Amino acid sequence: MIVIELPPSLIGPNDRGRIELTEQFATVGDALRSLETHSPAAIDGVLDEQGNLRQHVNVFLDQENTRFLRGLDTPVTDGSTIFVIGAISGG
Amino acid sequence: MAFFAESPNDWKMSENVMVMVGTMKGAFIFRSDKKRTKWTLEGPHFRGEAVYAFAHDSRTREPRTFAGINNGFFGPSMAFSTDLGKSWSAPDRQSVKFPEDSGRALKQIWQIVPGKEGKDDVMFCGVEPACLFVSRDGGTTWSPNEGLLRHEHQPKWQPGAGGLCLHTIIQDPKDPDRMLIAISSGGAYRTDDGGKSWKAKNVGVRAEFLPDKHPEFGQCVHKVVSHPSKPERLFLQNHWGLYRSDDWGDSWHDIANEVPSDFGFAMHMHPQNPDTVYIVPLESDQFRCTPEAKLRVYRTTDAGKSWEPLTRGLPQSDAYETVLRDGMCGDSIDPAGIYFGTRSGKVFGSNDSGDSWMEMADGLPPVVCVKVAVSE
Repeated sequence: MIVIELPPSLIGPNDRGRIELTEQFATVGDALRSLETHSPAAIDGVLDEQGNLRQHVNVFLDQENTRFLRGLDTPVTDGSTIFVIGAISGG
Repeated sequence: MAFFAESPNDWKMSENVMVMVGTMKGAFIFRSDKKRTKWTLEGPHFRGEAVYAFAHDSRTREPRTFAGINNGFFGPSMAFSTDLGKSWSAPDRQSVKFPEDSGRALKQIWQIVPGKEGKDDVMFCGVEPACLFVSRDGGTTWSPNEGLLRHEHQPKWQPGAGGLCLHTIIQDPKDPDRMLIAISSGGAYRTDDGGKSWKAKNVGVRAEFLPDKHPEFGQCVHKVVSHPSKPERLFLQNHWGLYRSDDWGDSWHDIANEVPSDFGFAMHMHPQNPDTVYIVPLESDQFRCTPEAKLRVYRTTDAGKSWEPLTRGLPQSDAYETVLRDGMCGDSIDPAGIYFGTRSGKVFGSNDSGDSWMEMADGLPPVVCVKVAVSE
């Protein structure tokens, strides 16, 4: 199982901030794109319409910022948690 | 009129003027009766988010108010209200999106404009990166205008300090196929065939920041206004330059007569008088503040032959203020109400066509947008 943790400001009133994904995903990007079905109100705030991570959003794979790994192409493994967090540069 | 609520049941009789103020950190709504001497203030809506666009659409039995908002972390979106701005909602998925093959992604919604009367489901919005979007179902779904999306000039448009934005949308009340839009920095463009093709309309408008001061396109137009009774006549506030066109933008001539500076952003057309236009000159592109530290609105009542400073009620010392391109608007009451907000968070209003002003608020976040709606 892979878990995605979303910030409260990004989820809709009927969405959960913690999403447990039972499907298998190869990369962080693949897992995030599944938000389209699991949390549709969130995905546009994470990825733009070109599929790029928004400038002022950071995505951590467990404790590592994926910007310093392989970005959305960072491999993800079962048991990982993906944290979506607003960057300090935003706001 | 675009910002006009027509149903007498829209608001309470005591609250029939609504001034919507978008700031960098949320939206505030002022309400008053038609005397416009006492205002209530509510907000912030969209706490912490920039609100660069508002529009009130009163063409249908159920008027709606739209807002273009931008979350500093999670990007732009459009929200709407069916109770005159008291509460807001947004769809789960945003529909103002560039197609994948364009390679572009929406950065901000700059302008929302209802279509003309009789086309109640048509709406337009101008966005960054510069493009025009059209909705044919009252703002539920949107698609980009292909003529601008694929325009041959598009790769050479350059962003100004505010971004590469399409900020002005002017419809011809007589010809449904004609529209003029303006881009900073790209210039003015006009279509005469319903948006299939667009031609640059910048003859006479200078570009101080380019080696060729009079290119075909690339001008940094800050705002264009016109009056529905005289749509062929346009007024243009440029990044250096104040112009008028009498032929739907085919040619422009200078009307910077008796103004302290022809640099500025905001421009507003009087609702009844097509010869009356308001601007707020700024010192220069290097020092984008009111000249001589005096906050002065300038008004022409003769279509630009002359301009007079309007100062009564406005600070005339130590006022280093800036009014941005969508920071000034007006109501449709006679005498006209004129309203503007500053980057320092002040909002001023006039209920006598600008002859005198009152401070409606001080200490708001930086104001980027002011729009007005009135119920009859």
